Amino acid sequence: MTGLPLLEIKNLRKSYGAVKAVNDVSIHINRGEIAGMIGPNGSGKSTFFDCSTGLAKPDTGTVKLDGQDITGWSLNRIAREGRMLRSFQKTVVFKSLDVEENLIIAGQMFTFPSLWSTFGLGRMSRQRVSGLRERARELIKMAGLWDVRHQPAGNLSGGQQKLIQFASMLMPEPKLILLDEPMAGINPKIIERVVDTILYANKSLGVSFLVIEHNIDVVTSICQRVIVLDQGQKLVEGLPQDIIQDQRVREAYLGG
Amino acid sequence: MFSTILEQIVNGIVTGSVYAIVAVGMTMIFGVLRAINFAHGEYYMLGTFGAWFSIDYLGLSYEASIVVGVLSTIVVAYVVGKLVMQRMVGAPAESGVLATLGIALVLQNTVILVFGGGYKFFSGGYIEPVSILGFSLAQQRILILVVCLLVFVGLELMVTYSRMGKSMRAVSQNVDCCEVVGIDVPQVVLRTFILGAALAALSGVLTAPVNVSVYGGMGELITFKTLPIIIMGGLGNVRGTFFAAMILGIAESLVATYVGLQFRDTVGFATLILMLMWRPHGLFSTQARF
Repeated sequence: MTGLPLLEIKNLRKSYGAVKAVNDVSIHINRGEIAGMIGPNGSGKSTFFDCSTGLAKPDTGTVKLDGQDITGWSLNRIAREGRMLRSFQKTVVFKSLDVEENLIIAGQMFTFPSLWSTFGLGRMSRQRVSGLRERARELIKMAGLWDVRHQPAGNLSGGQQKLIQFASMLMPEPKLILLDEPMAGINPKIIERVVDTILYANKSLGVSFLVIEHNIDVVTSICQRVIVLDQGQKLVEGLPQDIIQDQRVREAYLGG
Repeated sequence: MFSTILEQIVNGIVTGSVYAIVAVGMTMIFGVLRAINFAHGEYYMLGTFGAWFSIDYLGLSYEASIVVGVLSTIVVAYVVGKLVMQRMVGAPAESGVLATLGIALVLQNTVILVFGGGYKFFSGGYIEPVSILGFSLAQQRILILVVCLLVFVGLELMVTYSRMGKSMRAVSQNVDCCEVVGIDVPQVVLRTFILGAALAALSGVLTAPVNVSVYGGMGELITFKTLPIIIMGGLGNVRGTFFAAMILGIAESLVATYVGLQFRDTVGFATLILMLMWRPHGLFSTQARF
């Protein structure tokens, strides 16, 4: 099994009317890898994410996670059963719940394993909840949110909400996380924190990543491989340092 | 004079309890779906019919008829939930209004078609009066009060501590966020809906011995009395609903005695108008939750 890529997407196509948003893109993500995805605006990155994670249905193509065909699964099922999570450009947190509750809810992947557990009854259920709490506290410490852990998430800054969302996504022991512009609109200090958290999750928790990002410094510092999309097609992929030198990539960004 | 007022207040509290059990389901359904369930009173009616049927046709006891009434409503709610309510996740508000009004028409007219449109006599229940602190109160009314308190304590615990309650709060806050962390939103919606419908049915079965008459159109008025309550309580707010229901129940009871019985049902509508004019976010919160 280890030879297989963790995520394998083949010949993905998606059109909106006459616009071919994603046109025959195939990629793979290896186990333990942090891969980056870059491309100019409108190059199909987000559509590609949507089709891979069940938010949109691809016209053709297959998505395989760990050898299992998950094409057409809903977003929440992919998250719950496939352990592949994604973020959106917009930060989503439960605003009136405090930081710790946000993480605990996120950890309840198997929302209702049994009717008893639904009501928090039974020894197993209680053990699970206390296990969840411990894990939540560890992640809160790591994300630097310890001092604000009992504050409603909605009272915190945009950057802190990003960290909450990110920590929430680590709660269910994911295999793979797809991040859609995690650094957009946050200050450099928080960027550092998010980068540290990604690296920690990758090294210590064994989570693989696919990151859409415009901040090229971030991409070159954390990604082992970069995939470039342009006009719905894969332009090139390779090592970050090679990619930023590539003439085709420069032309795509400059609209050449 | 004073004891009459007190007696009317106690009656109001009993009426309020009935409203509260119905309204809390509607407010929870609003919480997860962002849609007013205009068919909510119909589940109250279904529960009552289920109980009436099991007493009159099957010869069951009142206790057993409570179970039959609630269970049969759960079955209907499951079907409606699967076919209609789950599709309303993320749908525009108008489609929720149309869909639930449609369900109300279908349920009401199906019952009228099967059992006829006339009034039926509900024969079960504990109607013996007992005397407490100088009041004489039917046992059934005490039962309603006790059940109402149990339901609200249970719901408060569930919403705060249980996994289902937390998921319900999560869904009511941010559906996108639930999807991201793997909460199955349609399933939470279905379960909340069934719970709400079952509570409405329970309220119907408990009230039937007090109201005595059972008819197909009885749910409508309940739906429209529930509306001002859930708005007063603050949409989606369980505790607020309880107090709002009590306020409406007592107000109705006092108006019926001192102004005139014919004005009783206007209280709810007047409240609704006033609430929407001055405090559309409810009596108990300072700002809109949604």
